Amino acid sequence: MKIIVCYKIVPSDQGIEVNHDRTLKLSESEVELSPFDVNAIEAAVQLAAAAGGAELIGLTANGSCVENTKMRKAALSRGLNSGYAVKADGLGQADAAVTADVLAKAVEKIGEYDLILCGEGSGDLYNQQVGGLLGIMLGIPTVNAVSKLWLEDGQLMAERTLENGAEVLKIQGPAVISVTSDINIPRIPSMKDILGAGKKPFVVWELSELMSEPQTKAERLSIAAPEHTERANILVDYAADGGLTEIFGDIAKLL
Amino acid sequence: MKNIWVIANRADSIKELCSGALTLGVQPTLVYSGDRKWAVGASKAYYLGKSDDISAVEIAAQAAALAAENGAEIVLCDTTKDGRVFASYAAMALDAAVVSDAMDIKLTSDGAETARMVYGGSAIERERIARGAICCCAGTFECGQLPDAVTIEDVSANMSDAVSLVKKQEKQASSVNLAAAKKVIVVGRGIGGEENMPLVKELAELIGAEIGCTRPVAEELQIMPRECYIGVSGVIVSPDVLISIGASGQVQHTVGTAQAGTIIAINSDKNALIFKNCDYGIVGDLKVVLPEFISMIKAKK
Repeated sequence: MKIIVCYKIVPSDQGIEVNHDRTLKLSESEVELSPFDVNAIEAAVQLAAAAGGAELIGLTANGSCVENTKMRKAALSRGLNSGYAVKADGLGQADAAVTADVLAKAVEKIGEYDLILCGEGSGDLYNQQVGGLLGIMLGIPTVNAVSKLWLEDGQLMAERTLENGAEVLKIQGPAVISVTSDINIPRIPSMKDILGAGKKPFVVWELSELMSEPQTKAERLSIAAPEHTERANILVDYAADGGLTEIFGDIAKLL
Repeated sequence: MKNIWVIANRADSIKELCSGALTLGVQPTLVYSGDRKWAVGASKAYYLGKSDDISAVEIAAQAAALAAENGAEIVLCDTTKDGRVFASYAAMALDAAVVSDAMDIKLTSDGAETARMVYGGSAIERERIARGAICCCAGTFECGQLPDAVTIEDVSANMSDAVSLVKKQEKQASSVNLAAAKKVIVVGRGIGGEENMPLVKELAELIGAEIGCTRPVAEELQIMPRECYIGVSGVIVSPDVLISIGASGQVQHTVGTAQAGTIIAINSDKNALIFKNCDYGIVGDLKVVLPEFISMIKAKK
Protein backbone atom coordinates (compact mmCIF):
# COMPACT_ATOMS: atom_id res chain seq x y z
CA MET A 1 0.00 0.00 0.00
CA LYS A 2 1.19 3.49 -0.84
CA ILE A 3 -0.18 6.45 1.12
CA ILE A 4 0.46 10.12 0.34
CA VAL A 5 0.00 12.49 3.28
CA CYS A 6 -0.47 16.19 2.48
CA TYR A 7 0.73 18.65 5.06
CA LYS A 8 1.29 22.38 5.35
CA ILE A 9 3.92 24.50 7.06
CA VAL A 10 2.14 27.43 8.74
CA PRO A 11 3.27 30.50 10.68
CA SER A 12 3.39 29.79 14.41
CA ASP A 13 1.68 32.25 16.76
CA GLN A 14 5.03 34.02 17.20
CA GLY A 15 5.32 34.25 13.41
CA ILE A 16 2.29 36.51 13.01
CA GLU A 17 2.63 40.21 13.78
CA VAL A 18 0.01 42.88 13.26
CA ASN A 19 1.34 46.01 11.56
CA HIS A 20 0.12 49.51 12.43
CA ASP A 21 -2.23 49.54 9.44
CA ARG A 22 -3.73 46.24 10.74
CA THR A 23 -2.16 44.20 7.94
CA LEU A 24 -0.23 41.11 8.97
CA LYS A 25 3.49 40.47 8.84
CA LEU A 26 4.13 36.75 8.42
CA SER A 27 7.50 35.28 9.27
CA GLU A 28 9.04 32.66 6.96
CA SER A 29 11.13 31.30 9.83
CA GLU A 30 8.73 31.23 12.79
CA VAL A 31 6.84 28.28 11.37
CA GLU A 32 5.44 24.93 12.46
CA LEU A 33 3.71 21.88 10.99
CA SER A 34 0.01 22.63 10.83
CA PRO A 35 -1.25 20.80 13.95
CA PHE A 36 -4.17 19.23 12.05
CA ASP A 37 -1.79 17.64 9.56
CA VAL A 38 0.20 15.97 12.32
CA ASN A 39 -2.97 13.93 12.94
CA ALA A 40 -3.04 12.99 9.24
CA ILE A 41 0.56 11.74 9.38
CA GLU A 42 -0.18 9.73 12.52
CA ALA A 43 -3.32 8.26 10.89
CA ALA A 44 -1.17 7.09 7.97
CA VAL A 45 1.37 5.51 10.33
CA GLN A 46 -1.39 3.68 12.21
CA LEU A 47 -3.10 2.50 9.03
CA ALA A 48 0.23 1.26 7.68
CA ALA A 49 0.79 -0.73 10.88
CA ALA A 50 -2.69 -2.24 10.60
CA ALA A 51 -2.08 -3.17 6.96
CA GLY A 52 1.20 -4.88 7.78
CA GLY A 53 3.31 -2.15 6.23
CA ALA A 54 2.93 0.61 3.66
CA GLU A 55 5.02 3.23 1.92
CA LEU A 56 4.26 6.65 3.40
CA ILE A 57 5.03 9.74 1.33
CA GLY A 58 4.75 13.32 2.55
CA LEU A 59 3.66 16.11 0.18
CA THR A 60 3.66 19.84 0.85
CA ALA A 61 3.50 23.08 -1.14
CA ASN A 62 4.69 26.49 0.04
CA GLY A 63 7.30 29.21 -0.28
CA SER A 64 10.93 28.78 0.69
CA CYS A 65 9.96 27.35 4.10
CA VAL A 66 9.56 23.92 2.42
CA GLU A 67 13.38 23.76 2.47
CA ASN A 68 13.55 24.57 6.18
CA THR A 69 15.52 21.61 7.63
CA LYS A 70 13.65 21.66 10.91
CA MET A 71 10.28 21.48 9.14
CA ARG A 72 11.46 18.67 6.81
CA LYS A 73 12.60 16.68 9.85
CA ALA A 74 9.42 17.54 11.76
CA ALA A 75 7.37 15.85 9.04
CA LEU A 76 9.65 12.93 8.20
CA SER A 77 10.45 12.06 11.84
CA ARG A 78 6.80 11.21 12.42
CA GLY A 79 6.96 8.06 10.32
CA LEU A 80 6.94 9.15 6.66
CA ASN A 81 9.44 7.30 4.44
CA SER A 82 10.09 10.17 2.05
CA GLY A 83 8.79 13.58 1.07
CA TYR A 84 8.03 15.86 -1.86
CA ALA A 85 7.61 19.61 -1.78
CA VAL A 86 6.41 22.08 -4.39
CA LYS A 87 8.00 25.48 -4.03
CA ALA A 88 6.90 28.90 -5.25
CA ASP A 89 6.64 32.32 -3.66
CA GLY A 90 3.19 32.95 -2.23
CA LEU A 91 2.00 29.31 -2.36
CA GLY A 92 1.50 29.35 1.41
CA GLN A 93 -1.11 32.08 1.08
CA ALA A 94 -2.80 30.57 -1.98
CA ASP A 95 -6.53 29.83 -1.75
CA ALA A 96 -7.85 26.29 -1.36
CA ALA A 97 -8.52 25.77 -5.09
CA VAL A 98 -4.99 26.78 -6.09
CA THR A 99 -3.46 24.65 -3.33
CA ALA A 100 -5.54 21.64 -4.37
CA ASP A 101 -4.60 22.18 -8.03
CA VAL A 102 -0.89 22.26 -7.19
CA LEU A 103 -1.17 19.17 -4.96
CA ALA A 104 -3.13 17.31 -7.66
CA LYS A 105 -0.37 17.98 -10.21
CA ALA A 106 2.25 16.82 -7.69
CA VAL A 107 0.25 13.65 -6.88
CA GLU A 108 0.08 12.84 -10.60
CA LYS A 109 3.84 13.29 -10.89
CA ILE A 110 4.46 11.04 -7.87
CA GLY A 111 2.44 8.37 -9.71
CA GLU A 112 0.58 5.37 -8.31
CA TYR A 113 -1.02 5.60 -4.88
CA ASP A 114 -3.71 3.85 -2.86
CA LEU A 115 -4.76 6.61 -0.50
CA ILE A 116 -4.24 10.32 0.15
CA LEU A 117 -4.63 11.68 3.66
CA CYS A 118 -5.15 15.32 4.65
CA GLY A 119 -5.77 17.12 7.94
CA GLU A 120 -9.07 18.81 8.71
CA GLY A 121 -7.85 22.19 7.49
CA SER A 122 -4.65 24.19 7.59
CA GLY A 123 -3.79 25.93 10.85
CA ASP A 124 -3.54 29.32 9.13
CA LEU A 125 -6.22 29.82 6.48
CA TYR A 126 -8.36 26.88 7.67
CA ASN A 127 -10.57 26.62 4.60
CA GLN A 128 -11.17 22.91 5.22
CA GLN A 129 -11.57 22.56 1.46
CA VAL A 130 -8.26 21.28 0.08
CA GLY A 131 -8.99 17.56 0.69
CA GLY A 132 -12.40 17.84 -0.94
CA LEU A 133 -11.22 19.79 -3.98
CA LEU A 134 -8.16 17.56 -4.41
CA GLY A 135 -10.28 14.41 -4.58
CA ILE A 136 -12.68 15.93 -7.11
CA MET A 137 -9.77 17.19 -9.25
CA LEU A 138 -8.21 13.71 -9.21
CA GLY A 139 -11.60 12.16 -9.99
CA ILE A 140 -11.61 9.94 -6.90
CA PRO A 141 -13.87 9.78 -3.83
CA THR A 142 -13.19 12.31 -1.11
CA VAL A 143 -14.43 12.00 2.46
CA ASN A 144 -14.02 14.59 5.20
CA ALA A 145 -14.58 14.62 8.98
CA VAL A 146 -13.09 11.15 9.34
CA SER A 147 -12.59 10.34 13.03
CA LYS A 148 -11.81 6.64 12.61
CA LEU A 149 -10.16 4.83 9.73
CA TRP A 150 -9.67 1.08 9.45
CA LEU A 151 -9.44 -1.89 7.12
CA GLU A 152 -12.12 -4.58 7.09
CA ASP A 153 -11.27 -7.58 4.90
CA GLY A 154 -8.89 -5.36 2.99
CA GLN A 155 -11.66 -2.79 2.44
CA LEU A 156 -11.18 0.79 3.65
CA MET A 157 -13.77 1.92 6.19
CA ALA A 158 -14.21 5.41 7.58
CA GLU A 159 -16.31 6.84 10.37
CA ARG A 160 -17.38 10.46 9.92
CA THR A 161 -18.24 12.48 13.01
CA LEU A 162 -20.93 15.01 12.15
CA GLU A 163 -22.56 17.79 14.14
CA ASN A 164 -25.75 15.74 14.43
CA GLY A 165 -24.41 12.22 14.55
CA ALA A 166 -21.99 9.87 12.89
CA GLU A 167 -21.85 7.64 9.84
CA VAL A 168 -19.73 4.76 8.63
CA LEU A 169 -18.73 4.59 4.97
CA LYS A 170 -17.16 1.87 2.86
CA ILE A 171 -14.71 3.29 0.34
CA GLN A 172 -13.56 1.60 -2.88
CA GLY A 173 -10.32 2.34 -4.64
CA PRO A 174 -8.02 5.28 -4.12
CA ALA A 175 -9.57 8.16 -2.18
CA VAL A 176 -8.74 11.39 -0.39
CA ILE A 177 -9.54 11.18 3.32
CA SER A 178 -9.50 14.29 5.53
CA VAL A 179 -9.17 13.30 9.17
CA THR A 180 -10.34 15.18 12.26
CA SER A 181 -8.01 16.35 15.00
CA ASP A 182 -9.43 13.79 17.42
CA ILE A 183 -8.76 10.73 15.23
CA ASN A 184 -5.59 10.03 17.25
CA ILE A 185 -3.05 11.46 19.64
CA PRO A 186 0.10 11.88 17.54
CA ARG A 187 3.26 10.37 19.01
CA ILE A 188 6.18 12.67 19.79
CA PRO A 189 9.21 11.78 17.65
CA SER A 190 12.29 10.57 19.53
CA MET A 191 15.75 12.07 19.04
CA LYS A 192 16.57 8.96 16.97
CA ASP A 193 13.53 9.58 14.74
CA ILE A 194 14.60 13.18 14.21
CA LEU A 195 18.20 12.27 13.36
CA GLY A 196 16.97 9.50 11.07
CA ALA A 197 14.62 11.93 9.31
CA GLY A 198 17.61 13.90 8.02
CA LYS A 199 18.67 10.89 5.96
CA LYS A 200 15.28 10.26 4.33
CA PRO A 201 14.79 11.24 0.66
CA PHE A 202 13.14 14.63 0.17
CA VAL A 203 12.59 16.12 -3.29
CA VAL A 204 11.78 19.79 -3.91
CA TRP A 205 10.11 20.72 -7.19
CA GLU A 206 9.82 24.27 -8.44
CA LEU A 207 6.16 24.95 -9.26
CA SER A 208 7.17 25.60 -12.87
CA GLU A 209 8.28 21.95 -13.16
CA LEU A 210 4.65 20.89 -12.58
CA MET A 211 2.47 23.48 -14.21
CA SER A 212 2.14 27.00 -15.47
CA GLU A 213 1.07 29.62 -12.94
CA PRO A 214 -2.18 28.38 -11.26
CA GLN A 215 -5.17 30.67 -11.72
CA THR A 216 -7.08 31.78 -8.64
CA LYS A 217 -10.84 32.14 -8.94
CA ALA A 218 -11.17 34.42 -5.92
CA GLU A 219 -9.61 37.84 -5.75
CA ARG A 220 -8.19 38.63 -2.32
CA LEU A 221 -9.08 42.21 -1.41
CA SER A 222 -7.38 42.33 1.98
CA ILE A 223 -6.22 40.41 5.02
CA ALA A 224 -6.26 42.62 8.09
CA ALA A 225 -6.68 42.33 11.84
CA PRO A 226 -10.27 42.99 12.93
CA GLU A 227 -11.08 46.39 14.34
CA HIS A 228 -11.25 46.30 18.09
CA THR A 229 -14.72 46.87 19.53
CA GLU A 230 -14.48 49.54 22.24
CA ARG A 231 -15.82 48.27 25.56
CA ALA A 232 -16.49 50.05 28.85
CA ASN A 233 -14.18 47.76 30.88
CA ILE A 234 -15.73 48.40 34.30
CA LEU A 235 -14.13 45.86 36.63
CA VAL A 236 -15.00 44.73 40.14
CA ASP A 237 -13.20 42.22 42.29
CA TYR A 238 -15.90 40.17 43.98
CA ALA A 239 -13.96 39.44 47.17
CA ALA A 240 -12.12 42.77 47.54
CA ASP A 241 -14.99 45.04 46.50
CA GLY A 242 -17.63 43.35 48.61
CA GLY A 243 -19.76 41.55 46.07
CA LEU A 244 -21.82 42.68 43.14
CA THR A 245 -23.81 45.58 44.55
CA GLU A 246 -21.60 48.19 42.90
CA ILE A 247 -22.42 47.13 39.35
CA PHE A 248 -25.57 45.08 39.74
CA GLY A 249 -27.83 48.09 39.23
CA ASP A 250 -26.33 48.76 35.80
CA ILE A 251 -26.37 45.11 34.79
CA ALA A 252 -29.91 44.44 36.01
CA LYS A 253 -31.29 47.04 33.60
CA LEU A 254 -29.99 44.93 30.72
CA LEU A 255 -31.44 41.60 31.83
CA MET B 1 -30.52 39.20 -10.87
CA LYS B 2 -28.16 36.52 -9.62
CA ASN B 3 -29.01 32.84 -9.85
CA ILE B 4 -28.55 31.69 -6.24
CA TRP B 5 -28.84 28.10 -5.04
CA VAL B 6 -28.85 26.59 -1.58
CA ILE B 7 -27.58 23.04 -0.95
CA ALA B 8 -28.18 21.72 2.57
CA ASN B 9 -29.40 18.77 4.60
CA ARG B 10 -30.50 20.39 7.86
CA ALA B 11 -33.75 22.22 8.57
CA ASP B 12 -32.07 25.11 10.39
CA SER B 13 -29.52 25.59 7.59
CA ILE B 14 -32.14 25.53 4.84
CA LYS B 15 -34.11 28.17 6.71
CA GLU B 16 -31.15 30.45 7.35
CA LEU B 17 -29.56 30.10 3.91
CA CYS B 18 -32.83 30.60 1.99
CA SER B 19 -33.55 33.54 4.27
CA GLY B 20 -30.05 34.80 3.45
CA ALA B 21 -30.63 34.57 -0.29
CA LEU B 22 -33.87 36.54 0.11
CA THR B 23 -31.97 39.14 2.16
CA LEU B 24 -29.57 39.41 -0.76
CA GLY B 25 -32.61 40.08 -2.92
CA VAL B 26 -32.90 36.75 -4.69
CA GLN B 27 -35.35 33.90 -4.25
CA PRO B 28 -33.10 30.82 -4.30
CA THR B 29 -33.44 27.34 -5.72
CA LEU B 30 -32.93 24.63 -3.13
CA VAL B 31 -31.38 21.16 -3.33
CA TYR B 32 -31.82 19.20 -0.12
CA SER B 33 -32.12 15.92 1.66
CA GLY B 34 -33.77 15.18 4.98
CA ASP B 35 -37.45 15.76 5.72
CA ARG B 36 -39.41 16.67 2.58
CA LYS B 37 -41.28 19.33 4.61
CA TRP B 38 -38.08 21.33 5.22
CA ALA B 39 -38.28 23.20 1.91
CA VAL B 40 -38.97 26.87 2.64
CA GLY B 41 -38.28 30.18 0.99
CA ALA B 42 -37.18 28.73 -2.34
CA SER B 43 -38.80 29.30 -5.72
CA LYS B 44 -38.11 25.68 -6.53
CA ALA B 45 -36.75 22.79 -4.49
CA TYR B 46 -35.18 19.50 -5.57
CA TYR B 47 -35.62 16.79 -2.95
CA LEU B 48 -33.05 14.00 -2.90
CA GLY B 49 -34.57 11.88 -0.15
CA LYS B 50 -34.38 11.16 3.55
CA SER B 51 -31.08 11.76 5.37
CA ASP B 52 -31.13 8.57 7.39
CA ASP B 53 -30.08 6.38 4.49
CA ILE B 54 -28.03 8.92 2.51
CA SER B 55 -24.61 10.39 3.24
CA ALA B 56 -23.88 13.88 1.93
CA VAL B 57 -20.73 12.35 0.43
CA GLU B 58 -22.91 10.16 -1.82
CA ILE B 59 -25.15 12.92 -3.20
CA ALA B 60 -22.89 15.98 -3.26
CA ALA B 61 -21.78 15.49 -6.88
CA GLN B 62 -25.38 15.14 -8.07
CA ALA B 63 -26.58 18.15 -6.07
CA ALA B 64 -23.73 20.25 -7.47
CA ALA B 65 -24.42 19.10 -11.03
CA LEU B 66 -28.09 20.10 -10.70
CA ALA B 67 -27.03 23.61 -9.68
CA ALA B 68 -24.38 23.90 -12.39
CA GLU B 69 -26.67 22.62 -15.18
CA ASN B 70 -29.31 25.16 -14.22
CA GLY B 71 -26.97 28.11 -14.35
CA ALA B 72 -26.25 28.64 -10.65
CA GLU B 73 -23.89 31.54 -10.05
CA ILE B 74 -23.71 31.49 -6.25
CA VAL B 75 -24.30 28.36 -4.15
CA LEU B 76 -24.84 28.86 -0.42
CA CYS B 77 -23.96 26.05 2.00
CA ASP B 78 -23.66 25.83 5.77
CA THR B 79 -20.40 25.31 7.68
CA THR B 80 -21.17 21.79 8.90
CA LYS B 81 -18.94 18.93 7.75
CA ASP B 82 -21.58 18.03 5.17
CA GLY B 83 -21.93 21.66 4.10
CA ARG B 84 -18.23 21.72 3.25
CA VAL B 85 -18.64 18.61 1.09
CA PHE B 86 -21.52 20.23 -0.81
CA ALA B 87 -19.43 23.39 -1.27
CA SER B 88 -16.39 21.51 -2.64
CA TYR B 89 -18.50 19.79 -5.30
CA ALA B 90 -20.50 22.93 -6.10
CA ALA B 91 -17.37 25.03 -6.61
CA MET B 92 -15.86 22.42 -8.91
CA ALA B 93 -19.11 21.92 -10.85
CA LEU B 94 -19.34 25.68 -11.39
CA ASP B 95 -15.62 25.85 -12.15
CA ALA B 96 -15.54 28.69 -9.64
CA ALA B 97 -14.27 29.77 -6.26
CA VAL B 98 -15.09 28.37 -2.84
CA VAL B 99 -15.26 30.59 0.23
CA SER B 100 -15.24 28.94 3.67
CA ASP B 101 -16.79 30.31 6.84
CA ALA B 102 -18.08 33.58 5.41
CA MET B 103 -19.42 35.93 8.11
CA ASP B 104 -20.44 38.66 5.72
CA ILE B 105 -21.66 38.45 2.12
CA LYS B 106 -22.58 41.26 -0.24
CA LEU B 107 -23.71 40.86 -3.81
CA THR B 108 -22.08 43.19 -6.29
CA SER B 109 -22.86 43.84 -9.94
CA ASP B 110 -20.18 41.37 -10.98
CA GLY B 111 -20.31 38.76 -8.21
CA ALA B 112 -20.02 38.77 -4.45
CA GLU B 113 -17.75 40.10 -1.75
CA THR B 114 -17.16 38.02 1.35
CA ALA B 115 -15.38 38.29 4.69
CA ARG B 116 -13.98 35.40 6.70
CA MET B 117 -11.62 34.85 9.60
CA VAL B 118 -8.11 33.55 9.03
CA TYR B 119 -5.04 32.91 11.17
CA GLY B 120 -7.14 31.68 14.09
CA GLY B 121 -9.18 34.87 14.22
CA SER B 122 -6.16 37.20 14.13
CA ALA B 123 -7.30 38.59 10.79
CA ILE B 124 -10.23 38.96 8.45
CA GLU B 125 -9.81 38.09 4.80
CA ARG B 126 -11.99 39.93 2.29
CA GLU B 127 -12.45 38.30 -1.10
CA ARG B 128 -14.25 39.07 -4.33
CA ILE B 129 -15.61 36.21 -6.39
CA ALA B 130 -17.38 36.31 -9.72
CA ARG B 131 -19.18 33.03 -9.05
CA GLY B 132 -18.79 30.22 -6.56
CA ALA B 133 -19.79 28.29 -3.48
CA ILE B 134 -19.90 29.98 -0.08
CA CYS B 135 -20.09 28.23 3.30
CA CYS B 136 -21.92 30.73 5.52
CA CYS B 137 -21.37 30.79 9.29
CA ALA B 138 -24.52 30.37 11.35
CA GLY B 139 -25.66 33.86 12.26
CA THR B 140 -24.51 35.48 9.01
CA PHE B 141 -28.13 36.04 8.04
CA GLU B 142 -31.20 36.78 10.10
CA CYS B 143 -33.96 34.24 9.75
CA GLY B 144 -37.17 35.94 8.74
CA GLN B 145 -40.60 34.44 8.16
CA LEU B 146 -40.34 32.36 5.01
CA PRO B 147 -42.99 31.32 2.50
CA ASP B 148 -43.22 27.63 1.61
CA ALA B 149 -41.19 26.52 -1.37
CA VAL B 150 -43.22 27.08 -4.51
CA THR B 151 -42.64 23.67 -6.06
CA ILE B 152 -40.83 20.57 -4.86
CA GLU B 153 -39.48 18.11 -7.38
CA ASP B 154 -38.45 14.65 -6.21
CA VAL B 155 -35.16 13.53 -7.67
CA SER B 156 -33.88 10.00 -7.21
CA ALA B 157 -30.43 10.08 -5.73
CA ASN B 158 -27.73 8.58 -7.95
CA MET B 159 -25.62 6.86 -5.37
CA SER B 160 -21.93 6.69 -6.10
CA ASP B 161 -20.46 3.17 -6.28
CA ALA B 162 -17.13 4.17 -4.79
CA VAL B 163 -18.50 5.31 -1.44
CA SER B 164 -21.40 3.61 0.28
CA LEU B 165 -23.10 4.30 3.57
CA VAL B 166 -22.95 1.34 5.94
CA LYS B 167 -24.41 2.85 9.09
CA LYS B 168 -25.75 6.19 10.26
CA GLN B 169 -26.57 7.37 13.77
CA GLU B 170 -28.36 10.62 14.33
CA LYS B 171 -28.12 12.51 17.58
CA GLN B 172 -31.05 14.48 18.80
CA ALA B 173 -30.39 17.85 17.19
CA SER B 174 -30.07 20.51 19.85
CA SER B 175 -32.72 23.16 19.67
CA VAL B 176 -30.48 26.09 20.49
CA ASN B 177 -30.51 29.03 18.15
CA LEU B 178 -27.52 30.95 19.38
CA ALA B 179 -27.15 33.00 16.26
CA ALA B 180 -30.56 34.63 16.67
CA ALA B 181 -30.60 34.82 20.49
CA LYS B 182 -30.97 38.24 22.15
CA LYS B 183 -29.30 37.02 25.35
CA VAL B 184 -26.42 34.58 25.34
CA ILE B 185 -24.41 32.96 28.13
CA VAL B 186 -21.00 31.66 27.10
CA VAL B 187 -19.31 28.95 29.13
CA GLY B 188 -15.52 28.74 28.97
CA ARG B 189 -13.04 26.16 30.20
CA GLY B 190 -13.05 27.85 33.61
CA ILE B 191 -16.44 26.24 34.20
CA GLY B 192 -14.41 23.28 35.47
CA GLY B 193 -16.88 20.52 34.73
CA GLU B 194 -20.44 19.33 34.35
CA GLU B 195 -21.06 19.84 38.09
CA ASN B 196 -21.18 23.62 37.66
CA MET B 197 -23.57 23.60 34.70
CA PRO B 198 -26.79 23.58 36.80
CA LEU B 199 -25.91 27.10 38.01
CA VAL B 200 -25.45 28.27 34.41
CA LYS B 201 -28.70 26.64 33.33
CA GLU B 202 -30.57 28.26 36.23
CA LEU B 203 -29.27 31.68 35.22
CA ALA B 204 -30.13 31.03 31.57
CA GLU B 205 -33.72 30.09 32.41
CA LEU B 206 -34.10 33.03 34.74
CA ILE B 207 -33.12 35.62 32.14
CA GLY B 208 -34.21 33.71 29.02
CA ALA B 209 -30.78 33.23 27.50
CA GLU B 210 -29.35 30.57 25.18
CA ILE B 211 -26.13 28.86 26.29
CA GLY B 212 -23.06 28.67 24.07
CA CYS B 213 -19.48 27.74 24.80
CA THR B 214 -15.86 28.13 23.75
CA ARG B 215 -14.16 25.48 21.64
CA PRO B 216 -12.35 23.65 24.52
CA VAL B 217 -15.65 23.18 26.36
CA ALA B 218 -17.13 21.43 23.32
CA GLU B 219 -14.05 19.50 22.25
CA GLU B 220 -12.02 18.84 25.40
CA LEU B 221 -14.44 18.94 28.32
CA GLN B 222 -17.20 17.71 25.96
CA ILE B 223 -19.96 19.01 28.21
CA MET B 224 -21.63 21.07 25.45
CA PRO B 225 -22.45 20.02 21.86
CA ARG B 226 -20.13 21.23 19.10
CA GLU B 227 -22.79 23.33 17.42
CA CYS B 228 -22.77 25.53 20.53
CA TYR B 229 -19.18 26.56 19.98
CA ILE B 230 -18.80 30.32 19.38
CA GLY B 231 -15.81 31.66 17.46
CA VAL B 232 -13.67 30.87 14.44
CA SER B 233 -15.53 28.40 12.19
CA GLY B 234 -18.23 28.12 14.86
CA VAL B 235 -21.25 30.31 15.52
CA ILE B 236 -21.12 34.11 15.27
CA VAL B 237 -23.47 35.65 17.84
CA SER B 238 -24.90 39.14 18.05
CA PRO B 239 -27.03 39.30 21.22
CA ASP B 240 -27.98 42.48 23.09
CA VAL B 241 -26.34 41.05 26.21
CA LEU B 242 -23.70 38.37 26.55
CA ILE B 243 -22.60 36.89 29.87
CA SER B 244 -19.24 35.17 29.64
CA ILE B 245 -18.45 32.67 32.40
CA GLY B 246 -14.98 31.22 32.80
CA ALA B 247 -13.83 32.11 29.27
CA SER B 248 -10.25 33.31 29.00
CA GLY B 249 -11.04 35.55 26.04
CA GLN B 250 -8.74 34.17 23.35
CA VAL B 251 -9.18 35.89 20.01
CA GLN B 252 -10.36 32.62 18.38
CA HIS B 253 -13.43 32.90 20.58
CA THR B 254 -13.94 36.66 20.88
CA VAL B 255 -14.16 37.17 17.12
CA GLY B 256 -17.46 35.33 17.45
CA THR B 257 -18.75 37.74 20.10
CA ALA B 258 -17.49 41.06 18.70
CA GLN B 259 -21.00 42.01 17.58
CA ALA B 260 -22.54 41.55 21.04
CA GLY B 261 -24.13 44.63 22.61
CA THR B 262 -23.01 44.54 26.23
CA ILE B 263 -20.53 41.93 27.47
CA ILE B 264 -20.47 40.91 31.13
CA ALA B 265 -17.56 38.66 32.07
CA ILE B 266 -17.00 36.50 35.13
CA ASN B 267 -13.57 34.94 35.62
CA SER B 268 -11.47 34.03 38.64
CA ASP B 269 -8.26 35.19 36.92
CA LYS B 270 -8.02 38.97 37.12
CA ASN B 271 -5.47 38.93 34.27
CA ALA B 272 -7.76 37.02 31.89
CA LEU B 273 -7.86 38.57 28.42
CA ILE B 274 -11.66 38.65 28.55
CA PHE B 275 -11.49 41.59 30.98
CA LYS B 276 -9.94 43.73 28.23
CA ASN B 277 -12.87 42.87 26.04
CA CYS B 278 -15.91 43.34 28.25
CA ASP B 279 -18.16 46.15 29.49
CA TYR B 280 -18.58 44.76 33.00
CA GLY B 281 -16.04 42.39 34.51
CA ILE B 282 -16.41 40.47 37.74
CA VAL B 283 -13.25 38.91 39.14
CA GLY B 284 -14.33 36.00 41.28
CA ASP B 285 -15.11 32.33 41.65
CA LEU B 286 -18.16 31.46 39.60
CA LYS B 287 -19.34 29.08 42.33
CA VAL B 288 -19.71 32.09 44.62
CA VAL B 289 -20.55 34.83 42.12
CA LEU B 290 -23.26 32.98 40.18
CA PRO B 291 -25.45 32.02 43.17
CA GLU B 292 -25.40 35.61 44.41
CA PHE B 293 -26.04 36.97 40.92
CA ILE B 294 -28.99 34.59 40.56
CA SER B 295 -30.50 35.50 43.92
CA MET B 296 -30.10 39.23 43.22
CA ILE B 297 -31.98 38.85 39.93
CA LYS B 298 -34.70 36.81 41.64
CA ALA B 299 -35.02 39.44 44.36
CA LYS B 300 -35.40 42.17 41.76
CA LYS B 301 -38.06 40.25 39.85
